[in-house]
Amino acid sequence: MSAFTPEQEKLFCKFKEGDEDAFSFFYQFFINDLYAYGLGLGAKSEWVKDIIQDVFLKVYFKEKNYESLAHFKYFLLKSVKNKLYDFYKSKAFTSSVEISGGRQNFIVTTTILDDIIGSEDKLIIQQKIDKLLSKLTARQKEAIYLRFIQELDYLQIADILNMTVPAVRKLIFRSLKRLKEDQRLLLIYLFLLYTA
Amino acid sequence: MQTNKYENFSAIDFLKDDDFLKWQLFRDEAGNAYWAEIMAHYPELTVSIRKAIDLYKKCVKWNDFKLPPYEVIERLVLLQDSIRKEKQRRYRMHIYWWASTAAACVTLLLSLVFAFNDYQIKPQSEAGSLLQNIASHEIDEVTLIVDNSAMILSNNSQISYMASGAIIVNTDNNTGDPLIREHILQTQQSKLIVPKGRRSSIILSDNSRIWLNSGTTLVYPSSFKGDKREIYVDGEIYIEVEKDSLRPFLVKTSKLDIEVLGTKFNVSAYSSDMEQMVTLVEGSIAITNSGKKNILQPNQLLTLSNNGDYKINDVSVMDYICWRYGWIQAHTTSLKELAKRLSRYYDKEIICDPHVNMLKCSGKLVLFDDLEKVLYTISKNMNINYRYKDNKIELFSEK
Repeated sequence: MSAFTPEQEKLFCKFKEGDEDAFSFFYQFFINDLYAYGLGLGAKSEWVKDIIQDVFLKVYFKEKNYESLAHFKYFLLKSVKNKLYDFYKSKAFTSSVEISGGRQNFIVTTTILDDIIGSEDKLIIQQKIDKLLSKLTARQKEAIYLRFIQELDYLQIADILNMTVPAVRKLIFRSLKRLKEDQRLLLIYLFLLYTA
Repeated sequence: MQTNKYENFSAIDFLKDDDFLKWQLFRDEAGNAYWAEIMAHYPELTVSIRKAIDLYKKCVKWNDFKLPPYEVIERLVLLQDSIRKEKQRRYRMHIYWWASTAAACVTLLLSLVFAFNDYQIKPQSEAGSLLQNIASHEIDEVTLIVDNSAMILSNNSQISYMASGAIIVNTDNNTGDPLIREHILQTQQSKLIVPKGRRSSIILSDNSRIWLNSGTTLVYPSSFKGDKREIYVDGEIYIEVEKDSLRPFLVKTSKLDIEVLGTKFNVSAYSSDMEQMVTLVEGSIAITNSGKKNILQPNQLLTLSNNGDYKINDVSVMDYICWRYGWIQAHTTSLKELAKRLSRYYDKEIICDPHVNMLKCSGKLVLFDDLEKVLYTISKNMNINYRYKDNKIELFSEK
């Protein structure tokens, strides 16, 4: 299932041939995804904005041998993360602050949009989601974010998180398990359903 | 049949249900199965569930950070501007190379015509003149001199010589493609000048890697001819020599000849310094100074003083090569010595009052891009003060 429309795929072909308009389109198309991911990695807004410029400047002058639009998106996300890490390294803020092996803390801020949901309901839903998320580690959140929000595939996530594919699957599976202290309840429920 | 816990659930009710939220969060197999089962058993819930899924997709956002549309456009314009500038820069470089290559060809032809009979490359003397003819203090950016033409490079540039003779230069900030220069004249000595406050690294045609500290000049051939590999250094380098048992590698400084086969070692030989030091990390090296030959073992430091005395000590090599990683390791190092190293690294004159000169410090000092931070760290730790005066930095203590 591709997340992109046929028109976008068509435009992507032009982009690969070096079309300036297509370049501008994809800059605008991806900038917010990259911006949100960068902020999720805990960086200041100004840093992320500068890094995005750097990444696109490089993309412009590099050969565009991306396999697909999805692959290009993955490349952009990964570049932002790498650049951010380099940036942290170059600015090892004070002598007492050490960067912990490149592990950036991934933060998730949830928002509930839309007016269909009443403000009271919104609050309850948000609290519930936040409570669920609070049980996950930063790495689990990042994996889930990349999988379900940015819709990368496991191979790409594994590369960004510097893990193997089975390890990523396990990471996501484990987070699921963590949330299910009441898993037994669910199993009993399923059991009842089958025997009913 | 058990009671239906979802009886009369609306879409919003589902959105408040933990199991539903978990399923939306993970879209896992077990969740899929469970909810398919629910929908099969209670078809009347299907509409609400589908609506809830739709609502979740539309309304629940993770890290919903967006730049306002006007800012996106503004930044796009800025980006297009940078692209334009970069294009111009590349275009200029292109022209410049062609012109300089042509000029170099003419020079070579003329020299062949005039000196055909007794033309012979004398590496040592030629290198000596190369080392002298441009004083490195007149240059304030990393400069690579090839075929009598100079290329100005950015700080921390990495230069590689390919077997084909082409030169590739990677800039530190990785913007854009590396600069590539092809078809260089192989007979010439090249020269890399790293002024104070700058650093660079280079991969020679034999794959040996050299890191150059601030204030260093390196002279080397574009490709090694004959049965020896020879380079000349004024300043500090860390070198990893590629093994080649047939062609020994020779590093020459103003006082020392260091001969190796394949090793890693650090040479600090600033002609302005009182001492020259060689620190061996791996392998073994032979050092010759005015006829005397010394063999150095790993983790040993040879120090040659100005009066010709030399000594060999066992040392922790990391202390001598850590500049490569952007920090200084001090072991009861005097602040005078530290100030000298910092002044070289940042290209700022640093003077200490007599009391400060005597102070000793130990520990790891991170060389931030910003000298201010480094001075702050030192002054806090050593309980001294610093101030700027006539473009110099003064370290002083209050009695």
